[in-house]
Amino acid sequence: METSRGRPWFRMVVFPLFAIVAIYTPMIPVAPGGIQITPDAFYCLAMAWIIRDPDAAPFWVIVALALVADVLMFRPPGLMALGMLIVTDMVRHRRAAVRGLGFFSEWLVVSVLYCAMLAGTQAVLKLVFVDVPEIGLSMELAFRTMLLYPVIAAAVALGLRMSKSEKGERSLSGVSGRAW
Amino acid sequence: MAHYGERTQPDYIRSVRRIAVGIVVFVLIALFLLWRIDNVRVERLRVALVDRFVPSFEWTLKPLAAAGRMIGDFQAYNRVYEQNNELRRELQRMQAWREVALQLEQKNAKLLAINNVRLNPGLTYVTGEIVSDPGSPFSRSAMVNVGTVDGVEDGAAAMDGLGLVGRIAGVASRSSRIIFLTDTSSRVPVIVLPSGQRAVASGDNSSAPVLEFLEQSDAVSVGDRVVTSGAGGLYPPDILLGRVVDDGHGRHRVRPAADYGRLDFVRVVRSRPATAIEGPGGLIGPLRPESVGSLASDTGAEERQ
Repeated sequence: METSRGRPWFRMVVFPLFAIVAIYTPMIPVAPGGIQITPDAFYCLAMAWIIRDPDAAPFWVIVALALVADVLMFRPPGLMALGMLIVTDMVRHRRAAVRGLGFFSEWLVVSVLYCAMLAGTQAVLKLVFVDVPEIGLSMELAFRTMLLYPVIAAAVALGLRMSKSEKGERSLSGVSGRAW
Repeated sequence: MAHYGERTQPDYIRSVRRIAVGIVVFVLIALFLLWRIDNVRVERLRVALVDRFVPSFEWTLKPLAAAGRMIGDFQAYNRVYEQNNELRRELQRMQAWREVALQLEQKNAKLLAINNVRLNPGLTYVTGEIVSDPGSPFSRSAMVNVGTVDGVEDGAAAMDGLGLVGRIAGVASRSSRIIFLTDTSSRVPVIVLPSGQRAVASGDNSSAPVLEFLEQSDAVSVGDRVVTSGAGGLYPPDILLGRVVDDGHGRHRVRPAADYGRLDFVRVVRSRPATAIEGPGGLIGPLRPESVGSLASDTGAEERQ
């Protein structure tokens, strides 16, 4: 119980740090100009966090980080951040249901939501007459993100001892007033 | 399970949170619309932000990039012996070409001397290092560490040692962004060389841009050299883009001569446009008479004196 008391704050600090690493890694100029579709590690990280410990990833932290990613990756600013906010809040409000799922169902939920988010953002871009990339590239991106999710989820679950179990929740609910 | 969650939070926190989420959503939508409506200003803001923050992370990006390349190189070590033999054979062939090139260079120099050609001295370069590469399916671009301080201008051409890499889109004081030829928003007016066909090389996020608006596509054959035509004034003429390849769907594409896989340094062209001559100069020669009639009366007056 003592360790779990200190943990929520630790997780809250660690999440932005990991997220910044996840955002910066694709920007490393290993092969500039080549076709390199890097999976959306930030999305995987945010989802893993939200499902396991939603209070450690408040919505404003997610939005701020997603906005940074938008600006740095030369994406339409605000659009992906909005998508992230909607998707993470959907999971956040249904976390009782998501927590009951086994890992494969959780993976499926995360994958479907990512595809929906990509499709939604592309649809908005089409709607305001912005050139959207070919559908194949977006599918490749979604596929790679799906493949990355189990890795990140496992790393988060094992490395940080974050589980979806009841026990962790009790200790969290002790720290009230940190609702968002 | 049901005891935990929103129910333990007091009501007022939930409603405050809801309002905050609403405000954030509104701000994000407003930002996106602002980007759509006033793209130039928002992009300038974006480049300024990148200029401010990315160089401070340069020390983290550099070693990781080096490590990534080392892994790539390690795979090449397995084939060192074969490569060595291959290189030796290639070197033999290249020495022959070198001889030919030297002869051609001398010949060229002689011809230039005969024609009294003066090459454009205004074409200078500034070389920058690639600092980051926001790789995504949405854009093919990179940041270089030269900016307005170094005389880089928006729209300037960027090359590696061999060929055109792209153009500058967005300059801040110490960094600028290069849009590659392969980006969907890249269009370059080109000439396909032996036949002199004009075309536009337009990027489509694949590794080889498509040649569009070819007049006679039969006149173009695989392996032809593609250079910039200079039409439109954005790119200086006669910069090598690459060679024509066929993509199997009956369309001609340009395989870039620039080696995107090993792009460390880029040269940004600082081209000064040639001064346009507008009308006759005012200072040279005597002033023109206003009309023929006044000329005649003037000469008459002179004769009388």
